[in-house]
Amino acid sequence: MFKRILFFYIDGFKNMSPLGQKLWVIIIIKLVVIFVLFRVFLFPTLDTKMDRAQQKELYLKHLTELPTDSTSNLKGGN
Amino acid sequence: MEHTISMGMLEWARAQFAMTALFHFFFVPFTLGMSYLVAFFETIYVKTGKREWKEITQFWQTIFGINFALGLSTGIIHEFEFGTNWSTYSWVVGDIFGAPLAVEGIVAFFMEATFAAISFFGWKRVSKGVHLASTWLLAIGSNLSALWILIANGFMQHPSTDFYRFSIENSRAEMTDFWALIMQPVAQVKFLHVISSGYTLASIFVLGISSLYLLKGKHVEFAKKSAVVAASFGLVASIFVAVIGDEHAYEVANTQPTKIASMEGLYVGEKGAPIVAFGIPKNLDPREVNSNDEAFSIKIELPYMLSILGKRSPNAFVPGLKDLVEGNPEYGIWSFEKLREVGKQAIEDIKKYHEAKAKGDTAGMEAAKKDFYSVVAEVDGVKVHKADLLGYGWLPDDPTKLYPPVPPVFYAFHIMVGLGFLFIIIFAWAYYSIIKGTFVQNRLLQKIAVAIVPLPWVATSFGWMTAELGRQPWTVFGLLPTNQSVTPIALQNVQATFFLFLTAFVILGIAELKILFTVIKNGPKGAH
Repeated sequence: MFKRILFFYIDGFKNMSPLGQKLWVIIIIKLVVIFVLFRVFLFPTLDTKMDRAQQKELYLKHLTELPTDSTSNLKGGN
Repeated sequence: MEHTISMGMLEWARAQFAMTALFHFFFVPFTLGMSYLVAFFETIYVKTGKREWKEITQFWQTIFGINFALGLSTGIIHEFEFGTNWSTYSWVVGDIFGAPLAVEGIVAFFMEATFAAISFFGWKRVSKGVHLASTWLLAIGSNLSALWILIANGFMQHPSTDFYRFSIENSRAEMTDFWALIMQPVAQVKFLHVISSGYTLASIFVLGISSLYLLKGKHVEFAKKSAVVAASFGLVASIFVAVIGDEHAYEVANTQPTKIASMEGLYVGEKGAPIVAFGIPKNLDPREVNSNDEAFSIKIELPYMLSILGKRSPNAFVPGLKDLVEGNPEYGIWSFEKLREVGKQAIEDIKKYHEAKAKGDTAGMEAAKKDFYSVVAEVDGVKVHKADLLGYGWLPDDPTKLYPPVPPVFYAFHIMVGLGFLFIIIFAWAYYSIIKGTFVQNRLLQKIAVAIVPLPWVATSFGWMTAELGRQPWTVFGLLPTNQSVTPIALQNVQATFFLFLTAFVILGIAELKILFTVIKNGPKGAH
């Protein structure tokens, strides 16, 4: 069963039209950009090491400090 | 370093989300509609066994495949943004918003990936029946993905306490009834409105490209047959868009009064309120407006229509922005100041609860909790708790920030509606011409059909603008303001990623259009 499914995909990719191949190249480039490049650029800017209790404390502080200006009461560090 | 989120950060985060949403939505409605059109073409092929219908199916499937491949994963960027730019939003409503998104991910991945593979690769490898079933299941799977997204969005438009409760203990909204979340009427009508607009968009595209071939005298039989299916499906879909759009507007009128008032430029509430069929609205402070005539430079009205649309009664009262800002005791409408005051008290209750908890003061915790969930009003037999008005406490102390900017919402809504009616006329004309057997000779209709191909994208984008801009100043209406939803990160991070995404999208958009134009130029014989 799994072998048949595997060969179904292998056969599909082998006999793909030039257009299909071009689309797959674009899909792969896109996935690399989204999951590798963007991740490298985006995620180091955020502190993702906080545990749930720390997150709760941070957001509780944010949410209970009443606005002092016309924008936001959010305060945080980076 | 400690810093306060500036308006610049908020606006850049909003601009980034708007850009990524509009780009993603460039692909979505086309996928929703084209998947069904391909299923219709293939069904005719399987029923008739005629080879030309297989060629028709394969050509439009190729077009569908290009859009499917290039649109794939563009929605993932939103998931990044919920974490990077909108982390407070994710914290406060993630328990509710995240659930349908997770289901969508699973449905999209397993159902679409499985059946897309069989539908694209399986022409010579599975039986006709299995292939047809896969094409249909791919269409159903794509549309079911949209259902989950719109359930999540429906929550943002109307967070009903039927399915959530704001937990004072955890300082976040928590889901209480998943089934009620799924069945919320706002999400259901929104889902039907969005998918049927996708069917209309794809039908306009097929009708337009078929007309292009007829104008050039190429692939005439292919174009005739494609046009028959597109005109029939498009006529039904575009009429349905209008019918369900009416129901959608009714839901908006009853759940988001600031949005419907902005959509229609209604500053002063009135009985027998009209719809402005055409107008140039002004951006005014509602407190200084005494008559709706002051609010427009020019306008053409349809009397009573807004009361009928919004309240299903010609003489019903529809509140205007002035009523919503200043309050209107006659109709039980609270003023902005009163709502904000109760909201601020709710925030104080949360603070008191956690201060008492830190001191181990159980009685203090219970007292704060009791206050937080106390009933502050009863509207039509439904109890309103202080906790339900929490979000108003986070709004800035400026009554003109209670509602969205009127002119852009008004124009977005009216352009969308105008285009919707134009599509009905074009489809009716095309369908009539096909029935009469004059479509192939009707070059004027063909030229119009080609010219309007980009317009459904304009209509769907303006539809989203009406929904999302019209919901401002909230990310979740009445629960969480947009200014309170953003992440405390530096402005430069959002600016840098904005341009990163923009560059990626421009390149991807050019690639999509280039490939699409090449396939259309080559025609059905060159496809697949």
